[in-house]
Amino acid sequence: MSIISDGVTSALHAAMNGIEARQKAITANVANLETPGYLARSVDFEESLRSAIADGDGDMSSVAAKVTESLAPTRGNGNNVNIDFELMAGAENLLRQKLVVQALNSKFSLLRTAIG
Amino acid sequence: MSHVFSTLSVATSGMGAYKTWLNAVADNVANMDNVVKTTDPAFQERFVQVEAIEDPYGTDTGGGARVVAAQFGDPNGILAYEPNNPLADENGMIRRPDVDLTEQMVYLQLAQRGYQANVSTFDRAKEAYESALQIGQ
Repeated sequence: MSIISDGVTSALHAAMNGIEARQKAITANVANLETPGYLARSVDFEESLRSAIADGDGDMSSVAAKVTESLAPTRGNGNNVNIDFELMAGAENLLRQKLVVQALNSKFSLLRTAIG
Repeated sequence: MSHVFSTLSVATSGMGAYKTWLNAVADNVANMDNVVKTTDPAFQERFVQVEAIEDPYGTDTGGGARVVAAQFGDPNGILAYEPNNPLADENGMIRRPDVDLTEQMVYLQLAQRGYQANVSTFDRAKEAYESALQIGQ
């Protein structure tokens, strides 16, 4: 761990990876909107990120994106992708991603101020 | 770890699958009035068969969709009585394809909306990557 890359930046980096995995899962769900037998997937990384931050040692290597298949009732073709949920989740995920980018940029601008 | 910008290829795979479906529907509708002799097989409508693919980079998030095969409709078609048709046999019968226009129009809507949904996820992924490229600027 260095001055440039501390617990904050590694936590944000881990969050960024989780958000990208979720973006990909949402995109794959929309691509399989009508694929027979396809079950929608969702990504959770917040839980492992929360416990990694709570450890307090700044080590984020335990953060993992957990992918689960939806248990929602399927349609006639065995598919349970819910298009309005996926598009909503995609919009929310994008906002979260921008939030993380902004937080990283604020962190770097602080460092830049300190470096002078 | 995955390839840079790999979400874009996931969205593209969905667009490709729906575009193939649109092509199949267009072809089915274009040939729905093809009349043949009763001794020949009728035009068979095509149904596109799609399956989910896994992420080639090994994550569990999924890698999109791909067209694996086409299923064909009934080559027997529908026998119709049209004695004035030059292709009619001695009993005045001809063979028409068994294409249900209503069904094809429903598929057209599904394929078109599915394509549009994939375009919107593509745009969103692109915006996310663009914003990631702003880190540190």
